[in-house]
Amino acid sequence: MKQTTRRAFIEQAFAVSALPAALQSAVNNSEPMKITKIEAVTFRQDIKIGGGGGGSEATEFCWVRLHTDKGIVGTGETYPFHQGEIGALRDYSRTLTGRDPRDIDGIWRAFYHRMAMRNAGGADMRILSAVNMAQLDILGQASGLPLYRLLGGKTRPRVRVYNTTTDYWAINNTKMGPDTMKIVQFLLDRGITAMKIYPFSAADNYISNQALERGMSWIKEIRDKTGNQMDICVDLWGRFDLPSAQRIAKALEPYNIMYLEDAMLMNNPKAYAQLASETSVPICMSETLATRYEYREFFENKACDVIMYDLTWCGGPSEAKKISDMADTYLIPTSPHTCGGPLLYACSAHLCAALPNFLIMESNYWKYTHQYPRFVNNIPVPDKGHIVPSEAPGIGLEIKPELFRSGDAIVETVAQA
Amino acid sequence: MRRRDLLKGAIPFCTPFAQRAASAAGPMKITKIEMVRVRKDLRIHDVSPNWTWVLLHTDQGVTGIGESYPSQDANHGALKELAPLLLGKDPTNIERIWQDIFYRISYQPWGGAEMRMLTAINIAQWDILGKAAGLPVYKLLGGKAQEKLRVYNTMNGWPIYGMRDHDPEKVTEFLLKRGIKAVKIYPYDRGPVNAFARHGGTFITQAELKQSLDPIQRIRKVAGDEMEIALDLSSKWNLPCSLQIARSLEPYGILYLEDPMLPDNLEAYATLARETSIPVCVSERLATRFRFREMFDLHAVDVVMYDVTWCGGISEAKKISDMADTYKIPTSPHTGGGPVLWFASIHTATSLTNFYIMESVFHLYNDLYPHFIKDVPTPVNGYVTAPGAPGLGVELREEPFRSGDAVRETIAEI
Repeated sequence: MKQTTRRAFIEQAFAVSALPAALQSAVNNSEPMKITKIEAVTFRQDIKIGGGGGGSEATEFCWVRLHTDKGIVGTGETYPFHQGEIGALRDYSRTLTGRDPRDIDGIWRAFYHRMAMRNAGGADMRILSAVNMAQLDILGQASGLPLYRLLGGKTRPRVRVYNTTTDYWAINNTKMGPDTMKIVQFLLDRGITAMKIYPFSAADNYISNQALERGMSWIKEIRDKTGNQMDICVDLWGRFDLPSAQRIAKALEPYNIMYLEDAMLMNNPKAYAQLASETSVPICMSETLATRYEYREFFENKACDVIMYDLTWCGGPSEAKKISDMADTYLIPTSPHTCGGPLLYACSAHLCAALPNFLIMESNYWKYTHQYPRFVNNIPVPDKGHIVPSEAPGIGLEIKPELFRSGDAIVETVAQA
Repeated sequence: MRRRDLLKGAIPFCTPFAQRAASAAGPMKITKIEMVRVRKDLRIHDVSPNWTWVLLHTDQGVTGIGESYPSQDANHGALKELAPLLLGKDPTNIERIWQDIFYRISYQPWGGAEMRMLTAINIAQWDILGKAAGLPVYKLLGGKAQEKLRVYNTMNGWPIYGMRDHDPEKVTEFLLKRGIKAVKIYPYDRGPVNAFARHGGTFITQAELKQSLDPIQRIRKVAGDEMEIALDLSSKWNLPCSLQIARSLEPYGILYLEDPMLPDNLEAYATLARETSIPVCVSERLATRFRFREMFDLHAVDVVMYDVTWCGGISEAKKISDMADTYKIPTSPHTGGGPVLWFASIHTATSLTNFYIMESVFHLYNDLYPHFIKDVPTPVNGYVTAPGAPGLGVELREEPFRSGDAVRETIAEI
């Protein structure tokens, strides 16, 4: 077979140009590329989005933009404490400027090792996640491929979503409890056949029998009136201690729920293993963990049945992929957390299309109907309960240019090569 | 407000005894949170201080000081985010505030900058409680379990009057003369061999293994067994390299082997600890009792190390050591940071029944801390003693604030 150099191959491809433009690589990828400038993008705190989101009106996410000497700009995202994150970006910017942004694992490793010198996590980990997302966005743009193609291609044509239903990110100001069936019907009418709810609350780590019964009444009502049409996930927000978690799981057993999420804080995999071994309810955890190193211990202890992560917290899309691939060896599926900004949601759609061990992805009606469209043009919206990732190169979202003219977006140059 | 008034109004410059009158019983409120950062281009003997102080002011006139390091910008941002959880709260409710902040930051993967700031806040709270009670902090942690604390000196690039770690004979003689009979060295990622620089921690040759023993053999030649030697591997190695290094060190009576690998898989540490007779020490890189519990559970460690300004603070350090004690594991605190770390570690370690040996750095307590702090505790005959003043006993000098070496900023106030 005739040997051809990569450069010759690329030049030939450009010359012939038989491929549609979107599939051509945007740059000559055999040449080095450098990060030349790092920007932090935050948003006016008094933005009022509206749309009946309950308590929520504004946004809590921030973006990182990596500029390169090839003209490609990659954007990453994280939330919710932008001051710590952007401070961390300043501290770590020397690790990034001048590096080739396509060296994804090498940069991740250097960044992680530096932060792990003093307890990895927090703002430092969130900003690494955003940087990693921006790097993958660059790789996608540079290669002319949508991100899911670089994460393994399409394992499924569309991604099933559930709706996270809280008073805070509400559907037209409705509230669970008084409006439960109105909400369920609203979702079912749109083909959304799964929802996550927060029925159990307590002042402390103990749940009283009354509070337990109050919470169960939501689930009973959904099952009584719509049978098994709706899959139900229950999130406890890490609120409870082991005995209360066990009592809640036991109460949920007859209702065949999809999963029970974050019953306790993730401080002890053995406590989770005990809960998982004692209940038939699938145990899901947790977007509060980061890196494959933290998840590994939960897998080994048989502490969970479903994993959740947040791409903008766990170390970024490349780390998320590694966590899911490891979970797959335990036959554990993935259900990503997406209740942040538009890039998290869109990037999660890419990953979910690719993952062999995908279960269902989070979405929120208020966010994709009102919040995200305020910032980007082509946000994927569920159709019959499923979304499809963008075909544009990289993450593929069109960020609205007017944000940068109206003063809604505040751009700060953090470092320049 | 003029700068001079600002300095005058500042409680931290009062002597700790002057604050003793503060009501210990009455409720107290945090009214203002300040951050102090060291000027970024400041060099003292070629070393740049990199810590951040947190000052909690109260309506009772008592002010507490806490600290963490490095990453000043991230710490600054994180403190701004946490400030609303503190203003108006009673700083003597130490457990409640820790738990509330920890829960808040546990909605995301916790750690990093916000854990460092939770840590600094906790230390400042203990300082306040001690001042309000008129007691040194160690007395609130269980009193004097140790009359004095044995220290070793860390040779990690910090100079001793210009001498550095590549001169092991001179350093050994200097330390022994001062009665300091233990030293920590870094032959695997510093010095002439530096096998890490050659292979990135993924491989080590037989020749490098042998050459790396050189400083140990030279110390033994000068001091015999009078000098204890600890090895720090800076978490740069994989498991097989760690095993090989440990095996090569077996004949030398090592005090402990610290941080050969990152502590993000403690099963790997359990394997190492099983295979070597050298005591394994980990790790100031971990925070909270929850992370340390796993280490004990797995028998992954022989000596526990934490950094009081990283691990969650004085409260968390004490809890970790008390849990370690149930496994017969002693404590060796990491202190290679700022002056409040040094004071807070001395108080904490003084109260521990399972104390082993504490890190100290000659350059830090001799050159750097005194630039900012009065009456820095200094080892005498190899031992350091806790200060008796109420709280931590940290008394800030005014000069660095006047000269701009230390910069105060109000983060939040009522």
